[in-house]
Amino acid sequence: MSTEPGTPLLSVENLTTTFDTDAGELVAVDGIDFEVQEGQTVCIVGESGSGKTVASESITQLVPSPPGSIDGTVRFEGREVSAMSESELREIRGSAVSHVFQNPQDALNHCYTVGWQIVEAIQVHEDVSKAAARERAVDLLDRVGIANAATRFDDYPHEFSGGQKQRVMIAMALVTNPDLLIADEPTTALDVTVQAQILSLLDDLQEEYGMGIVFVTHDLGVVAQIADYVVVMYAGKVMERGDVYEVFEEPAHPYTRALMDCLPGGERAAGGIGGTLPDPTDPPDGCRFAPRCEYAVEECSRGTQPEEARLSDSHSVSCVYYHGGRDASVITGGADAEEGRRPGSPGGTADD
Amino acid sequence: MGLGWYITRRVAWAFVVTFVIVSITWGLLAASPDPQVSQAATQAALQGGNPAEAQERARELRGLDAPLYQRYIDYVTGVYTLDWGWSQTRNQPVTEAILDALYYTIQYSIPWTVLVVLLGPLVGLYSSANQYSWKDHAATGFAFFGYAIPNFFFGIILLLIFGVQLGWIPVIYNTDVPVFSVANAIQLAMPVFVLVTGSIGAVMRVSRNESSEFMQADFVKTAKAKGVSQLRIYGRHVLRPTMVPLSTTIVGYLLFLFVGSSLLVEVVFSIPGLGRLLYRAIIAQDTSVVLGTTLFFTFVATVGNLIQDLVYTVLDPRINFDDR
Repeated sequence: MSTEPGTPLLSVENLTTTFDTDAGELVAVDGIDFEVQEGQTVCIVGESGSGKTVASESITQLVPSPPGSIDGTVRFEGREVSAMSESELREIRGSAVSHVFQNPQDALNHCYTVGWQIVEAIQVHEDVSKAAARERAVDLLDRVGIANAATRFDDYPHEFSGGQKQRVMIAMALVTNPDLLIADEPTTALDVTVQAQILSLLDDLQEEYGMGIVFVTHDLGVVAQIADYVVVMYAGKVMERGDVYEVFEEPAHPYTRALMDCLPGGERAAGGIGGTLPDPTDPPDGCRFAPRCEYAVEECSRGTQPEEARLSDSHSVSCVYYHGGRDASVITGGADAEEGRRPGSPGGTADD
Repeated sequence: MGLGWYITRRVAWAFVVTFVIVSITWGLLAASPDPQVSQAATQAALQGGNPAEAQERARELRGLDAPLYQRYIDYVTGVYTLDWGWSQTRNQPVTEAILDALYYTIQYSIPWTVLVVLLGPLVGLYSSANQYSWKDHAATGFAFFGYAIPNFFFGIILLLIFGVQLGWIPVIYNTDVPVFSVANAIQLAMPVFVLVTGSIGAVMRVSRNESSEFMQADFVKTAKAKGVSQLRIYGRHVLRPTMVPLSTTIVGYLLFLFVGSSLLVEVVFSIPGLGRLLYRAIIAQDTSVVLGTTLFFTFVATVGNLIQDLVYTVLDPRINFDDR
């Protein structure tokens, strides 16, 4: 690639995706930024409806338009994707940037064999013979763990299980050797054992092919397993971002902390977070999370989403407690309190 | 087993179905009075003869004095050996009359069917690709217009405008022009147009609704994410699954029109095809021709439904015939 050193693989600036609905303009993604470096896994985390899927599909403009419209700057390997024509977009979709979607049941066309669909993915971008494309497809099916790949090649999607379909989807996404894989909750529709297999498969493949991954999920357990970097989204805005260790060890935003508490063994494991997401056609003033936040003060409901405060080079948070001399330890708790609320560490750690 | 066995049994069932229909038509025929017998009686009475005797003679002449089972067996053997009886009014075997008429019916039926099968799904797809835009509304409006207006009425109006007022098309169908000639194309244009507008509506509506369902399907998003062009997405990923439910509508509706509307259209445009043959036979009470034509339509419908079931298997691989 002709990109200069230091240029991120993917950079997203002020990405805004709105939908024109009968109820008014729905802002699904409201000006988010993030970057993905080569070979890095960035997780976008948030509960359902927080705009993470739309954000992931806005990168290569898969969002149907109309009613959707996408604003902001997306750069991939230094090229401005957001300014590309439809035919330029088609060129990078599936070749440089691949997608794996949430529900493998309907993600494959039931009228065509699995092999046909993988070969299509190759031949759309490369001028290769059917036989050569077939060979590559079989090879990758084998690589993602489909037994008897050469015979399964000619089977129809309904002859595969959910987990196998997702493996096929991953094979189809990787068959063109992309630089970036966008995986939108690829394991959500699968059971836990299959989920673990798919995650470790993605991990292995990333090591082998070296692609960057944008991984969208609501499952912090999955994040802990695969992420290098985490972006926490809520109601179309970024709440917190940081290195996976920073976010897990020092979650700074009340929302991130609430999500952590929802993990098995946490305070909210059974209860969840009280309240619901704000109306996306009429978001509240100030911090989007304020109406559900137990630490909310009057200032939280004024103006716009607070500027992100830098906690370290990679870690930042969008919360009023980190501005204007407020005491953020109200949220993070004192050193003692911190030990008390961490799941699975009832009385200090070996490091103490 | 599998597909071959399914086809075999499906064809066998088609034979059973035609057999049942043949039996029922025969039953109706046997129960109804023969117009020619009563005509003979009337004639004898007018000429001062014995009406009862004349009636008896006429019955004998037509083999109507034989026992019922004998007549039934004769009739059924006749049907399956293509001996469909003698047309009194046309003075030719019924099969010959049907073949003669079929020659004209096919001339407009093939272009009409091909146009509907090709255009119907495409117009529907176009409509759903531009859903709720003016293009969609225009296509839908056209579809409903054709659907709503009776074929024979539309045909008469077109004849009045283009045949009588403007004089662009001949009002009387000319059987002397060669099949593949401009003159034939001109005189068949109107009946074909009427039948296409009449049937494309139903096909187009189903195509539009089914394909709108697939326009937003996950697998279409997958195709888009693979970099497949929009045109190829429509043609390959949307149209193909749409054709599965649509094929039912197409076959069913084409058969309905072939049997029903083409009759009226032939009468309006005075095409000496099957429809007009049937129409004239009914007027003249030529029972064997009526029965023969009915049988022919029955066979067409049975074969049409058979083809539809087979098309399913090709279009949707999820349909499994192993245990049917």
